[in-house]
Amino acid sequence: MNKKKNILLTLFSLVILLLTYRNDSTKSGTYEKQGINRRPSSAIEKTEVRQKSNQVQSPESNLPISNHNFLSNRKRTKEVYQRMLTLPSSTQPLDPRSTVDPLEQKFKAQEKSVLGSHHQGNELVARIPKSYFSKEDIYVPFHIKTLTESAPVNTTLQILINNQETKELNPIQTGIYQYHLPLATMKEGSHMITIIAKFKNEEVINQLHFRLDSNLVRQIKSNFADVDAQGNLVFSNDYEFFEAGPYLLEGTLYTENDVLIGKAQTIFTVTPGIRTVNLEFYGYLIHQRKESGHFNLKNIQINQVDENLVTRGNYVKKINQVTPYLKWQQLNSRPFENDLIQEKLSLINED
Amino acid sequence: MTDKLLVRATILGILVLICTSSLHAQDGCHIFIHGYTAHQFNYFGDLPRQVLWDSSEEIEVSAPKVARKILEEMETCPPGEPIILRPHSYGVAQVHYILGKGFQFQDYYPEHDFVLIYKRTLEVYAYTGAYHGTPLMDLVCSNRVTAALGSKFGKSCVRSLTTSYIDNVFAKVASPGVPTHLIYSSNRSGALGTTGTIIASHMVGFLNFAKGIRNQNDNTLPIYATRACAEKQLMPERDSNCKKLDSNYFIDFHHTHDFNHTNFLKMKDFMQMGHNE
Repeated sequence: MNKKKNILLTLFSLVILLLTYRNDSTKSGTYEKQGINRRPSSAIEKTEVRQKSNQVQSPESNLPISNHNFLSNRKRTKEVYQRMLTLPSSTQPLDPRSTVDPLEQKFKAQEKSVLGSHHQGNELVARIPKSYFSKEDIYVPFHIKTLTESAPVNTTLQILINNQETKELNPIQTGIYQYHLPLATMKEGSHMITIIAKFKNEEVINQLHFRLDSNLVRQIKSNFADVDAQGNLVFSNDYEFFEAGPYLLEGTLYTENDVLIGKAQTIFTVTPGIRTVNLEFYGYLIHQRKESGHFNLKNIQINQVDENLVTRGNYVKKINQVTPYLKWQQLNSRPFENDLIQEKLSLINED
Repeated sequence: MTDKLLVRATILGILVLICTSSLHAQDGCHIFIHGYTAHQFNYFGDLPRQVLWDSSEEIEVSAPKVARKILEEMETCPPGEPIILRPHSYGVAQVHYILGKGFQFQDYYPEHDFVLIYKRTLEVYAYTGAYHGTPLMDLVCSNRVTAALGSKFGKSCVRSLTTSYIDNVFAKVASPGVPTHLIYSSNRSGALGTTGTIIASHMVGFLNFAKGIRNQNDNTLPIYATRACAEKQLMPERDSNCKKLDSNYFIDFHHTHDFNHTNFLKMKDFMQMGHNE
């Protein structure tokens, strides 16, 4: 009997020791209670959360640290995963109220204004029509304005490309300059333009960056845009590839009223030549919106991918490939079972 | 009789301890990744699991190395424990790049380091993240930084941290694929106010500047960077809001006006906010 008791007690003690060790190893160490119960500063207390009609308020953003409850924050993490659970990673929803079309964002014109640090009203504005160019773009004008207190003034203007001095520019009108980027003589990669304007009493510097890529692919023709047997939206196009390798095709989808819905991607490997590539949007993305109509694959981007997952090429096109009229009931009604997200959700405990 | 009671008590005790232990174990294993600095050591004080890396390199060069180090730290976490990444500043850009690529390529390169990290990471706490860069780095890269500013901010040109539209992490990756809680600051004190003032006039035209409008910042990064805004834009108020590049995953979590870009780094409670105690 005593032997039994001893065995049980020993077993019990071993379990306690084992679990205590495991608990200690999960903690990040003891730490001082510095700041955790500090009263919020007057700056935070006085900051009002001003309601703006077109903006989303974050209710917790102005709370002191002690109010950030671990479990409520995990709840927000859980909510994100639950929203994304029903779609594959290749199809993602985009809400135009709180986000933008990443392809339109990436390829829009770049304009930058810099004020002189002496605060005398001197301003140097530079603009290029886009940030990504290919060898097909032979000459690209970029525009510069020099102003003092919003009035155009002439200055001495110097351009440097990648910190190499190129030339001094003369104005084409008072305070307006134009420079043509000599892309044909430039190497593939990222480039920096520095513009130095010498006003009467100070020097103001502006800087723009752009990227030059080789032509790796171009779209030849659209084949079809329709729903497949599984209820997924498929957009088929022929592309001409100039280099072999893995490629990433991305596209953004809109309703017929030009409202952003989501984005999709596909990754594939090709050899040079004309190839047919399909881009699929998982139908449940549309089904859950219960919205019928024509759906427009508005923008596409194709990049080559290397072994470090670095992309190059940056071929983008406003393709506007439209489906026939579709009823939302034709789209895939089955939520996707995203196993990885399910796995992550299982790690989140709730009270 | 006594023996039976003892056996039952033992079994019950073991069960209670296992259950309690499981609940606690789901807390997470926290890994810290520093920002742009010439001084890697002691960046976060004595917080455990700090990833040290060369922040003078561009994102595409450094990210594979940072990923390898994150994986090494993950190996020290208890098996099955969810991983929580806590990067600061440029470290946020690294983590965003790694997770974004991992998320994007998970089905095609399942054994890639970025994918392995994406699969194991539960969430991110992004401290004053460099989703966009800063005009301070524009000055460094155009060799126009003064000695005083250079000593406070740094002297290595990192294009990923300029206001470049093509080199910031947001130009390379949109979605992190992992819920990211944003911690940002509107306190531009420090460095004698110099750096904050330079950024305050960024993207502010003359007329707006004359009216007293300033671009809010934390003395190192504009708020549009740390709030993961889709666009580089004027944010004239501390609580100005913006659209995110991917609103599925970014959560505005904590806004401080007490601390600027760097003076919370050794505060353990701040760096572990949201963590169970």
